[in-house]
Amino acid sequence: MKITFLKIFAFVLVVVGTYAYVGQLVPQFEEHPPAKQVITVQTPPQELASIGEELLRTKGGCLICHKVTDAGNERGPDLRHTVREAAKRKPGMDVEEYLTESIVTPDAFIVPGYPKMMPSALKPPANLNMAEVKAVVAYLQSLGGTDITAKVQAADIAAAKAAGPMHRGKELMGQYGCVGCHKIEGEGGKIGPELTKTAANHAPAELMRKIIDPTAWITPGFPPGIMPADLGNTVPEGDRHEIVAYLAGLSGKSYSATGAASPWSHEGVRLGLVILVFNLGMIAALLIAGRRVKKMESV
Amino acid sequence: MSNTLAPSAVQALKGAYKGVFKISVMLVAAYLAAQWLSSILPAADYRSLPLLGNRTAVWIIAELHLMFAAFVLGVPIFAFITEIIGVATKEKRYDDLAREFTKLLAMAYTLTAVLGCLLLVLFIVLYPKFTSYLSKLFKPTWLLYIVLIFGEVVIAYLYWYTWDVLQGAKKYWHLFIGVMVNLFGTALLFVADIWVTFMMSPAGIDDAGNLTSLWAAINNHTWMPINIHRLLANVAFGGAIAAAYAAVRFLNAKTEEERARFDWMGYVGSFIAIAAFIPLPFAGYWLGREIYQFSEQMGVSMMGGGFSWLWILQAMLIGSLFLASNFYLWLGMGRIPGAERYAKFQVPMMILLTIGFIVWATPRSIMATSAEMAAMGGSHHPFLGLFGVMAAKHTAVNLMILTTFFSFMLYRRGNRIPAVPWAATAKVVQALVIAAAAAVVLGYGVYSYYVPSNIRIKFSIYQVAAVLTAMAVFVAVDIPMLKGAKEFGAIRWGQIPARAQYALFFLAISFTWLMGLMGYIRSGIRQHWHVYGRVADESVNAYTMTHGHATLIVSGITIVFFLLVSVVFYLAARQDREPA
Amino acid sequence: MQRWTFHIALCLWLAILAGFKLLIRPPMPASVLTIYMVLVTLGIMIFVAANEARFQAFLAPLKAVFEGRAPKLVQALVLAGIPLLAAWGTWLRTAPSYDAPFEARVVHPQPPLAMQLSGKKLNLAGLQNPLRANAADLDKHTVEGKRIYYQNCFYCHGDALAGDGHFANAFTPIPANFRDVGTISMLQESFVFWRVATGGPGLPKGAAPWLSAMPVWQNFLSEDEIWKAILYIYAGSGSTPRTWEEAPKK
Repeated sequence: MKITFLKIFAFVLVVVGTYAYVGQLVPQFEEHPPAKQVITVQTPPQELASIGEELLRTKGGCLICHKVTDAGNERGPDLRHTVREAAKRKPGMDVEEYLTESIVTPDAFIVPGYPKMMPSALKPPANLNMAEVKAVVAYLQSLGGTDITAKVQAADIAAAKAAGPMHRGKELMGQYGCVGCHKIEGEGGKIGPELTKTAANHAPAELMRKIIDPTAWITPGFPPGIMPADLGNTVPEGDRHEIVAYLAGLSGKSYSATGAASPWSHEGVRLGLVILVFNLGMIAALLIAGRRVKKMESV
Repeated sequence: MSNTLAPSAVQALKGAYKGVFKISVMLVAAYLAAQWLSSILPAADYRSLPLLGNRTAVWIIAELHLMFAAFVLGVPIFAFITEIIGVATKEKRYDDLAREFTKLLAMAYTLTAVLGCLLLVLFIVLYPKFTSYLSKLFKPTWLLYIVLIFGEVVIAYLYWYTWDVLQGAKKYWHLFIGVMVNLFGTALLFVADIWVTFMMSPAGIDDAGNLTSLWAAINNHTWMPINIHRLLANVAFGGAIAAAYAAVRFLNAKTEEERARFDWMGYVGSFIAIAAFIPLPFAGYWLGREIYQFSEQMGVSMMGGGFSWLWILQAMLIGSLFLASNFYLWLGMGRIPGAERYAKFQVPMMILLTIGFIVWATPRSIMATSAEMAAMGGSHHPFLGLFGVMAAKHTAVNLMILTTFFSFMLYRRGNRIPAVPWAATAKVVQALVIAAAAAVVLGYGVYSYYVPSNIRIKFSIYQVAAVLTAMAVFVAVDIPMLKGAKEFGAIRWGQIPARAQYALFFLAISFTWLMGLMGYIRSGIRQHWHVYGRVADESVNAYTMTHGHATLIVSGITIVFFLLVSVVFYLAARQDREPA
Repeated sequence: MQRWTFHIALCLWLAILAGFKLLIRPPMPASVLTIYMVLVTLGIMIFVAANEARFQAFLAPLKAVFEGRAPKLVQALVLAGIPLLAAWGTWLRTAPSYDAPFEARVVHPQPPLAMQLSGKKLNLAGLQNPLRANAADLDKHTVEGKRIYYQNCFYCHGDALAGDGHFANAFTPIPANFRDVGTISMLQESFVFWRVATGGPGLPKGAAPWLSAMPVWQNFLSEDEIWKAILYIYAGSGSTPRTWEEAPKK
């Protein structure tokens, strides 16, 4: 028995070894993903434009409202025509200046026929930095078929390093009504304390605890018992992390939004329910069957 | 309910509950472990694992999980079919065989679940960001999956524990349970494939990665092809592993009776493996086509780019599988009285197989020194280059399939002489059908060199259709022809050289390795993407490793798999020795 | 007959080897020959082992030698021959040679999802030759493509588009032969465009080491000119591009 096993195992090794050996005979190379494009002062205009395009599609989220092809969203103006129109928009402002302004402070000029709805690209959810805004401008210029004049300055890069990662937190704080009471980045109510710099004094884990349990601490000068106590249930776990990550980012701290989830999060509860249902179901079936058997035996 | 049934029903329920309880404990433990680990570890998008690295760790566990899952999903399919044959023919040995197959399952379920839970922990802990993205996207399917797991476990254990109880008049109830096991198993596979195929060919999400249509995300380009491909491969794989189990038992057998029994079991297992293996290339073509349609780039990087070298390995494995199965059949003919009549076909069949294999294995990208290249006048050999393209390979593989099929038909006929008066005509018809199919395959193969590629692609469908039709017609003639046939004598089960059993091991090992390799290619063509073209892999492991490295990992996985499987075999064999 | 199984197998093996070596012109590369001979060996061995009587007959002479029952001379030849063969093999492997280093590469490198064309991002998926849209001007464009071809490509790819231009033999690898069924006729025009526009330097790492001398034509030709030249190489070589089977989903 043992000998047979050893023989078979040796056979496994020989066959597998042959295959592995042939695998070594073919050309060997590693293929690495394309290098991340980093914007520097030296970035040539064409490359800047291509980085801008990528930002527009991904981080910037511009295509949620705008379009660059025939198919696309029309909440905002068609970006293919922006360069053509830009020169006419504001007297005394050249294309680059106008485009930069309308990305950074969209409300400065609203294109007729469109509602006032675009958030500043420097803030979440887009959360671009100045260098990235310039890249987007460069892309818009190349899209419109004009020369690229947008140029990244050293100051833009420095600012870029300071800003934190992008988070959906701001959006979520609006969604869950946090800004009804709290003021964040200049917007919101006055019932609760301002939260723009709160992460400077509290670690992310503390903020997390405060959301779940509002009594964890009370900021002096504000009455206790106002903040809802059931946020741990109503705000999904992942979203809470996003909010904390956003708050941390405002104070220049970084915090990954994908940390721990508590066992009482939705997934955990649902998993537990399924387990419970099946176990109870089986136990019930067992009990019923057992009782029947007993009954028959007694008969 | 009769008196005898009730206590055994309780027994069966107890057995099933044991399974449910085990899974419950494992799931809870996995979940809590994952939560605990992610709460004590610093928050991050990716976490690294010492020694193996996160990618390799997930790879190994995922592949092992997949292999066991393939086994536990594949075995019930043919156990059920064998059981039906048993009911139809009223031969007890089929029922026993189905029972023997099912016996391998219980232990394998536990291992599958352990590996699955381990995988879950690894995903949550090592790839927290991506895992949470995917699980949010597919929230409803995730819950469905858990429900299906429990359902599958309950029914599969009931299937096993009620085997001896539900016999005779109640057999139909048992067959019904068998249907349910397979329905649940297939559903499980389909749900798991959603996540995998979404990562390959995402659909139903907008540019920002938000879900727009869950059904579109589920029914993406590669979902159905992968479902079918995996379903067939599971049966082939399960058959091969079951045949390997029989081979071990054969080699360890002490009595003639036992040897005969396991010889037969090995034959049935290998038959199932080969039967499910033959349509597999066609399912593979469909999958490849869908990949091309989803993204030409992905298709080219799979077939023509860096991964093209791995297809040479695949060609080698598939060619060897054909050779090994013919080898097994021919050796098996040695125990069939009268089969020596067909020995004369072996020489031409071997020549055909070898030539087919040679064409099949001719690389498209030829490795050559510059002197050799100069002699060839380029990187293509003017003559051998003709064999490198798909047209030649389709032709070769179709002919090899046809040859293997013919081999099997000769085996089947081995000890029988048709008694029907029209036998001679029937044989001519069969020969003509095979010749016609071969002519169609060859004809289209040659013709396809003269037409543009968009027309050429359709030719492979005609070739496949010709082969499948020929097989169908051949079998349709064969069955009535051999009805009531005279026999030279009974098959001498058990009288087969030991090296035939090693051919069965070879099938099992090659299937396993092939599965690992193809799994790597399927996953690897996503390159540095988690979700192809949408969610980039930003970890340090986002690169595509060298083929040598990848094949070493696949080999390692295969060896670990066989070690684990031998534990299952050992336990199954021990259970056999103990009185029930 | 069966007595001679071993000898027949050996002779067959040698005959096939000689056939591959002598009959196939130009000679096949060593890597291919190795694959073929391994498969031939496998085929013969499996055939021999697939029948118990045949297998025993095959083993008989081997057993005779190794059990000392064969004639002394045969034994000596075999026992001396095996180490000599091994030594010869080792020498062949390790002997220094002046050949250029061995290069393995893929014939069909994978295209990227998108490429840079003079700063613009061009998605390759679903890309069509824009000049084919207007069938009326096709001939005109093809004639212009021919002019562009003769001004730029002809020197390497040749008059007959067979990769045999004046400079062709100066390069390793030699230029592509457009008349070969394995080149442009099995490629989409988008792929050909990518190869022309980005040239040798644009090849992905997976295709390395590929020392293609193909220039980066987008530095010399406009987008339209490249498309025209592509029209010509298809028309001139009598092939048609592979088409997208259906519009790929984004």
